[in-house]
Amino acid sequence: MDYDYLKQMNDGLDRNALLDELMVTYGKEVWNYAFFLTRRRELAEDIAQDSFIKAYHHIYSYRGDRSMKAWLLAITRNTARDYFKSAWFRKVQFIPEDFGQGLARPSAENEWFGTQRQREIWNAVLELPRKLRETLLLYAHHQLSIKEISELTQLSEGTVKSRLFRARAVINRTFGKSAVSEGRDRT
Amino acid sequence: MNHDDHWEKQLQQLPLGNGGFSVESMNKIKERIRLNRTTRLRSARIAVAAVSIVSVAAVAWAINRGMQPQQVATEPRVDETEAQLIVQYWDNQSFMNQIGQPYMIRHPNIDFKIVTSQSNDLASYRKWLEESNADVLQIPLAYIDDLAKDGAIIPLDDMLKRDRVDLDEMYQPMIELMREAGGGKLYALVDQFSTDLLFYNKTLFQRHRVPLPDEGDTWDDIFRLAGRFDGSTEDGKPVYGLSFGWRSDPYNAIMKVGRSEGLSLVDAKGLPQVDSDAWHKVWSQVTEGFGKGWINNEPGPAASNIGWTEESIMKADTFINNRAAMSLQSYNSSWNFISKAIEKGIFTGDWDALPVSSSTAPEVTRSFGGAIIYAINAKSPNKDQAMKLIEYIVSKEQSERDYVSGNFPLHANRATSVSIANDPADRVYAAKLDADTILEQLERNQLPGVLEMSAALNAKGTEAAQSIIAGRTTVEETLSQLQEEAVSAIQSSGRTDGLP
Repeated sequence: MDYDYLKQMNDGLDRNALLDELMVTYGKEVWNYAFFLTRRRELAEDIAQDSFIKAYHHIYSYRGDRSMKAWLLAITRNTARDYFKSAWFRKVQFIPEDFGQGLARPSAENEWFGTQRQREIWNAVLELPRKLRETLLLYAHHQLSIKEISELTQLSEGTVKSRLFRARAVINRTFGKSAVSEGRDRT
Repeated sequence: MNHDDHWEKQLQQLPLGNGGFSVESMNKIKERIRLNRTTRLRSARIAVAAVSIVSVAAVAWAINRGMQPQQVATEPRVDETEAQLIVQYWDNQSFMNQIGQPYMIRHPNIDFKIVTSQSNDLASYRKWLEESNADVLQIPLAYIDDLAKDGAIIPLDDMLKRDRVDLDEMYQPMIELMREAGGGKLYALVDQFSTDLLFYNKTLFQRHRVPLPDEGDTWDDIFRLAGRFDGSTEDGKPVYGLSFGWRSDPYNAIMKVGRSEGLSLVDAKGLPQVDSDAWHKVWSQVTEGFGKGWINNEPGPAASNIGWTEESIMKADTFINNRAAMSLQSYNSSWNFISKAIEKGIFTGDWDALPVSSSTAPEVTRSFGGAIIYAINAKSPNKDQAMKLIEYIVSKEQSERDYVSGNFPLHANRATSVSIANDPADRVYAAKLDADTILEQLERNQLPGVLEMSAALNAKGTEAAQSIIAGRTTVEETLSQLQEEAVSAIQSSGRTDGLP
């Protein structure tokens, strides 16, 4: 599809209302993806903010050739890459946050903080090298298909599958299991 | 780790605790756009400390959201075929704002056309439907059984099952109401509904040494408690036992009480029973309360040339201003005002709310104020897409959108990941609804001539009640006169069968 569907919206497009809508619907997705890439909450917040501001300014360039989520995640990815390239980022050494300590902190006010096992899994996944981590989480967390991940990362579908396999193998090794996935992958 | 508990599934949720994308993030983004700060600055988080106005709802949403499991948002479906859905709705703009725009973001291949129906009875709606090519219908509850019998709307059960829509997570009385209306089958789904709640100011009760109302209290109990405030004052101003919202209209109050008692102005044949014993009791209780002054009888806010303003309503509402111990109001409109009054420090009492029970069925409530209901036109060539749209309209996700926007509708599929402290909606969702009586009331209202009769009574009712309150007439005389008016109105509509 090569038309700009947003321009077809009835009564014109209220860009501010659309921004609200995008943030309510995809705010968590964008923030989480930025977090998976950086493993730092304050960076995820910065990148998520920048990504939505870019989306706001480029909303008319969105074409319905992919899902809005995939479009926003692509912007997020490019924004994160700009961060990684910056002199400031290269000077600062980041230590990944311990998921159990830093994120899901149990407290009386916060009843839901995940199980110990969930924290172990997330810690293991966030310890993966960035390329494997990103591919695995685009698939398992953001629920993108192999094709969508391939378009987003501009890698061949074969490479995406290979990274997914390697990521699973590492995690399975951590938990003492062979690298087999459940059922068929989404294509 | 076994296969049933595969680690990869655990990655669908990110247990962030109190973190992640929040309302604060959204406000910062909007503020940065407003300031045209497109360049990245790490200090942006600090510099933009003064965020725009954050509503109570938004704050509660942020806090609550942070405490919920991070769920994967609904995935857009881009593989659908292109289609234009024709939807019956009030107007194009509000449809696009409320439903169309968010839906198109998720389903880029769907376009909308909005059509409206001006019909106000079943016959004209049938005619409109005959000529309409609307896919999605917004139908009155009372028409469901007739339209289902006509074959004009289709049962939804199989499609809902196919699409794995979990009806169990919806407010069951609304599902039961729909099934009851459809003779066991589900022909329609409720988006939003309205119901009355009895709000009460615990502090006033305690100060005037009156016991608090309790769950299961009937109108006899409520009037008795309200009467205990007879002659009460605070700071030289009267304190009332009961009010009916910000407008003090005795006929409106009588109708509200009667409706929650399950009374109808006509019998099963559509013949007036305005002067029945049950109505006589309600008229006597309400006019006594107005006359003695334990029901709020202040004139209410003056309307300006643009109608009533929020400010004038909040100033005039005796419950909001801590001068009425109880207030029967629709949840939707009252909570909007009460929550704002709490935020502004105008309403200061400790308070709660209760559904009102009928004296003949204390375990259920009949205070049903209507619902927005969607069905699918049997002639629609886009039934699957129409079903998808209705599923979205009644989804938790859409309820959450609505709630976050600061509206307080009661959704059949209640938003569970957002909440506001002390929201009395909990009281509504805990109540059971008397579906049989509600449908019976609605069915009777559809009988020939009843609409005309109600209009005639509405025109005379307030003056008639005022006449009793002023002691110029008795309840018996007034109801006898109104009964004659009702018969005459039905006759004027062209109906003669069964009338005296």
